[in-house]
Formats: sequence, structure tokens, C-alpha cells
Amino acid sequence: VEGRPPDDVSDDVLIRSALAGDDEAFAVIVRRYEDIAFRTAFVVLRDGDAAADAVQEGMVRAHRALSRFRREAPLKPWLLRIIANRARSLARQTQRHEELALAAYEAHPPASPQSAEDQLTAAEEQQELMDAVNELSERDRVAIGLYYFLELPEREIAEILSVRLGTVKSRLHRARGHLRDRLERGST
Amino acid sequence: MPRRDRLSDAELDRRLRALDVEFPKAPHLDQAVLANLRQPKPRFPWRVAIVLALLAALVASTSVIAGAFGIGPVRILFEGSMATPNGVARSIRSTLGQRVDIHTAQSMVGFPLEIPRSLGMPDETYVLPTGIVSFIYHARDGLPAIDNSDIGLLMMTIAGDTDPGLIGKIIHEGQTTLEAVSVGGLPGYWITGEPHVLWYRMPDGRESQVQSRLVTDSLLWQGVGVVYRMESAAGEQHTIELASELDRVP
Repeated sequence: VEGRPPDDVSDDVLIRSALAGDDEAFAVIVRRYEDIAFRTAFVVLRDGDAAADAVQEGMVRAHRALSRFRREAPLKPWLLRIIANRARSLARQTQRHEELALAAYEAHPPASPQSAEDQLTAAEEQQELMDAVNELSERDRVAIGLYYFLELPEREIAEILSVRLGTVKSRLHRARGHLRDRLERGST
Repeated sequence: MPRRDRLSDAELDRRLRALDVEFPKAPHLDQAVLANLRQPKPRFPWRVAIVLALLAALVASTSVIAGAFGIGPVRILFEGSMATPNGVARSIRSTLGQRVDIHTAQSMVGFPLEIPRSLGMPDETYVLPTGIVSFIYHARDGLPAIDNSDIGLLMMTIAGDTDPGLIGKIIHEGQTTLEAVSVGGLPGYWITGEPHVLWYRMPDGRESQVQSRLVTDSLLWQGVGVVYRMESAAGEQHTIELASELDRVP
């Protein structure tokens, strides 16, 4: 599209352009981060449509708050913090989150009977762990989701959740303890 | 069912990392966001708000103007496109009244002062003649600086009557959003967007105002006989956590 900034422009240049009134520059930022933003919102909401709403509304809020962004800081955690806040607000408003669950992909077709048996066991273990994750409190589940499923570093998670680094570590530690207890007990 | 062997940390870690979570495909939202950004903004409420804010500046603190939104004795008046003054973070202290130590402040007001337990005693305490007590906590780990200032959190305690009939609204107005939240079971609002003016009714029945000075988000909630307000850049969840752990000043 004529007039649209190329996708390889740095965040800082895009931010400056967006602050100068170039909405297309902000659209490039949206495209650049919409995937990780959507996954972040999905970890909180566990609903694709709601996660898309959270990202859209969060991006609009981010655009409005762009003048307050400290440009020496990385953009991604700041954006994801706004998205995560919006997702948590939506979760409280909709009150549907108890009905929803994260799911794991099914295993690929087996190559042999022996591998089929192994695969069944692995799939059962995976499902059991997924169920256990879904039984965690929202705080613990989100910490686990951001750390293990989105592979974000603890310091970035702290920034996204607006908590101290130690709080992230303690939530992960507590969540692992709950998961271990749950797996030890087996399915109930 | 027999109990299984306890998983080692390493094994649990491995299994969590191997979990192939089924994320839906992220939709492309850039055009939807663009369309939203290009929507004309509502004009009428903002013009009204600007006029009211200008009137407020003229009629000083005993004005009887009341906004449509509020909590407890407080009404919230949005300033719309009226930007906060330059250097507001530095000059905020001059609007908070007399600087005193916290125990002097306690002796000057008729309600018990409370502070967030995990933050402890504030770095600075101020009292206004109207009985508003303000605590400033300097920026630190977990309390990011507000608006390039040295302030990490500003907490105000405002004495006044309560009016629970106004609680529980969720209002989206222009670029400012009020979100109804619960603070330890007490009703409140999380306010994001433009600076705003709070109108409140003092215990003697007169009305007064507090103007938002810092360009950041704020939390407003109702206590027993008082209304609390926190301005913070720490995010909604952390601010609500701090607000939920108030303890009497020792």
C-alpha cells in the first residue's frame, strides 16, 4: 500500500511516526506484535474471540498512551502489559473463564503399534498436565502460560503483570507445586 | 487410586516445556485498530466537560457543580483535551498542602490513616486544610516512576460521606475509561486516559475538588467514611493489590 511504512522499520521510528500522526506506522506495530499479544490474551481468557477483542481494545489504548511510553525501554513488554490488563478486565466482566480451558494439540498418527502405545501414554500424560494447568488459579496459570507456553523471560513477565520479579518467581514456584501435587494424586 | 512417585523439578519442567498448547490462529487486527483510531471522537461531552472545568477554575473550591459519575462523596469530571500543565510531576507537591510527618498528619484529621502494608511508611506526607492527606512513595522496584518524575505512587485519603447508589457503573467516555473494580471487596473505579477532576462533598456538606495532576492511571475506591485514591504507573492489578492491603499507621 502506498504510504505504508515497510515492516522492517525499527519500533522507535514507528513510534515517532505514530506520535506525529501516522496511523499506518502504528498499524505496522500492531502487525508486528499481534501474534504474541493474542497468545498473551488467550492465556488469560482461554477464548479466541475474547482474546481478539482484548488485543484490539488494548492496541487502541496503547496508541492513546503512546506519548507516555519511555522510548528507551523495549516496546513489547509495555504493549503486552496493556493487552494483559485489558484481557483481565474482560475476564472479570464476562465471568465465563471457569467454563474455558487451554488445550493441547493431539499427537500425530503413530508409525508402529509399539510407538502407538507410547504415543497414547504420552498423550494421556499431556492431557493430564493440561488439565492440571487449567485447574490452577488465574494468577498461577497466567504465570505458567507466559513462562512455558510463550517462553517469555521472568523479568519480562514481571513487567507485563506489573509485579516484582520475586512475585513471578514465587507464583511459578507455587504453581509447579500445585501441578506436582495434582499429578501425584492422578485424575480425580 | 495409588499415589504416584513425585515428579522431579527437572521432569516437570521438561513436560511443561513439551506441552504443545493449541493456540488459535491470531487474527489480523491492524485494519480493525486503524478503523477504530480513525473514528471521529465524540465532541459534545468533552465540550461540556471543558466548560465545566473552566468554570471550576473560576468558582474555586466551594463550587456546587457535580459531574455525572462518582463514587462515595466524589464526582468525577473529565477535562478532555485540556492537557495537564508542564512540569506537573515536579509541581504536584505544591498542590498537596503542608508537608508534615505522618503522625502529625494523623493528629490533624478525624479519621485513621492507613498505608499499604508492603510499602510501609510513605516517603513524604502532606495535609490540605480541607483534610485531604496525601502520601508520596518514591519510584522503586515494582513502583515505576510516574511521568518521568521521582514519584512511584501518590495516595490520597479524602474524608467524606458515602453514596453507594452511584457505585457499580462502567462508563466509557471519550478517551477516558472508568472500569468498575473491587478493592478487597470495596467498590472502586480504575480510571485510565485523560486527566480528570474529582469533586467531593466534605463532611461539613460543602463541595470541593481535587484535580488530577499526574499523567497516569488512577484507582478510586470507597472506604469507611473516606474515599481513597491512588495514582500509579504500576498497572491495574498491582495497584489494586496495594490498595487491598491497607493497614493502620503504627
